[in-house]
Amino acid sequence: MDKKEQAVVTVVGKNDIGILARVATAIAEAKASIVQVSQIVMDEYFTMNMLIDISSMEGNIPGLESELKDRLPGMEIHVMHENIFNSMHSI
Amino acid sequence: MYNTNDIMETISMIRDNNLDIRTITMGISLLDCADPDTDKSCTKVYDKICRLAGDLVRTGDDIRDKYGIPVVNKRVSVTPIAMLAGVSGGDPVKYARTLDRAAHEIGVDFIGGYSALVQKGFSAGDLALIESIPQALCETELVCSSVNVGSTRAGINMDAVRLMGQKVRQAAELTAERQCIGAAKLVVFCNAVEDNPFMAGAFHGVGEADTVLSVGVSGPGVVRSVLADMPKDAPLDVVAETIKKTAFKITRVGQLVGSEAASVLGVPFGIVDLSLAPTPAIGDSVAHILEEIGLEQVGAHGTTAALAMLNDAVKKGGVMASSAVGGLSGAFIPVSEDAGMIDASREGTLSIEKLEAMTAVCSVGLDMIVIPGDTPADVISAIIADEAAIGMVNSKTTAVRVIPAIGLKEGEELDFGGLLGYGPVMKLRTKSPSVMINRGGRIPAPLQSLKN
Repeated sequence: MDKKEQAVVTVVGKNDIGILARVATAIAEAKASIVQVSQIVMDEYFTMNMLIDISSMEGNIPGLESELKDRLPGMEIHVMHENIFNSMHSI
Repeated sequence: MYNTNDIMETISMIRDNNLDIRTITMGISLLDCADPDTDKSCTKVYDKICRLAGDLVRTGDDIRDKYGIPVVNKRVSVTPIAMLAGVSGGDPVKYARTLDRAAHEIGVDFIGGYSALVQKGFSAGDLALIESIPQALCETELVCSSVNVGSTRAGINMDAVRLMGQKVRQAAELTAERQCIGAAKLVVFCNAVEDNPFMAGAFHGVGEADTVLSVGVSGPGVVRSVLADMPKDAPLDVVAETIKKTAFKITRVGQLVGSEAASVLGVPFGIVDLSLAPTPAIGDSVAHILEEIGLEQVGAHGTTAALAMLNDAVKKGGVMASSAVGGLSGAFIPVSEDAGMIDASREGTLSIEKLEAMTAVCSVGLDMIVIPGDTPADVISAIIADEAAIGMVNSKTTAVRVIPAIGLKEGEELDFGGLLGYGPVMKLRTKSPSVMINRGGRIPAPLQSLKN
């Protein structure tokens, strides 16, 4: 597919060592690439939004989401196509 | 990069507050399937539906996976079958069986269009189709039926109203052992719209293109949750503004899904129907929005005003969010499909009279109301006539979908399961409208000037 497709990954939960590493590994293994990351740790809570390029990703979005959930049990994880945010929050 | 709050808002709308695409509905014209031979006509109907809508369910599921937003129902609406029955003659139930078979084959949830438009009179096929409705709904599982008996321009066909009272009752009687489900799949309209994607009233109007894809969005839970976060002393204009903004966001999602589904399926995108359609699930109730606005329970005095504001704000927010808005668009108030309405009717706060008043300002009409099993057909006809009169005079769509609970009395309940929900038998007036209903004839169209 030549059209660029991107998705937003959000991870929220108690901070731990290696969260970002595990997310990044899963994304790399799915053949998606990281475009932008914003991450903040407040007190002991970890919040991360990541924009990833899924144009040549293997598998689909729910597949990546469940893979991430398996690797990071206890964290709240969502993966959603960016179009949904674009359409809702911009005119 | 996106603003974190925007991201979280979208996620919470979908995951916590039941924002969903209620339906993607493919409208298919069957005019080119009409044949003087009923069986040939049925074969053409079956083939055309399967050919055009074969990928509808898979497309809906793909979009759900891609965007993480549930696409709850996939449906098909077709040209009013009375027109095909008019060409072919013969038993119209054959068409119902064909539609049901096609719907099962392609895996859709419902197929609508076992319909007749008789607001001014009956043409070939109309009467035979109307007569066959109870049998058709009893023999089939996924077919939905609707009849338009009135319009602002044509007046009300009271012969059709009289007939439909009988048909509603017979549809319930024939399916008495299945929670009277027949009547739950039958709607009687005034001012029916041709591009409605919602069941049971969907049909594909003759003014529409050969095939179109329309979308019905939902999201009462989202609106309720936004209102719940507002202070209780916020003025109503601020409340209306908030509903508008929320409706805008909900409708944008509908527009996204609809245009994507249409392009995948290679058919023109029809309309977004921006209705707030409740389900019996907790947190997906229109009644709870009205209660959040400030009523102790839906049905209290003030309900009509709150609903009028809600209905209007939803439209105002939605209109700008979509390239084409149509269908019924507004707030639905189906009693058995809405947890808050069910509670209010159990407690007696919500009466049929209050519901009738609400239908003057909501998007449709008396919807999914369980009535006593011994209600005579002419009383059902009179309910239809009252509702059609409200629609006719106010130039709006109104509808009646009441379910006579055969064998049950006031206070007992029917349970349809799934999205159709459950509800208690609602009390009706018992004095007879029989003489008026049996007069038949027509109520002339109302004057369009001197509006007071």
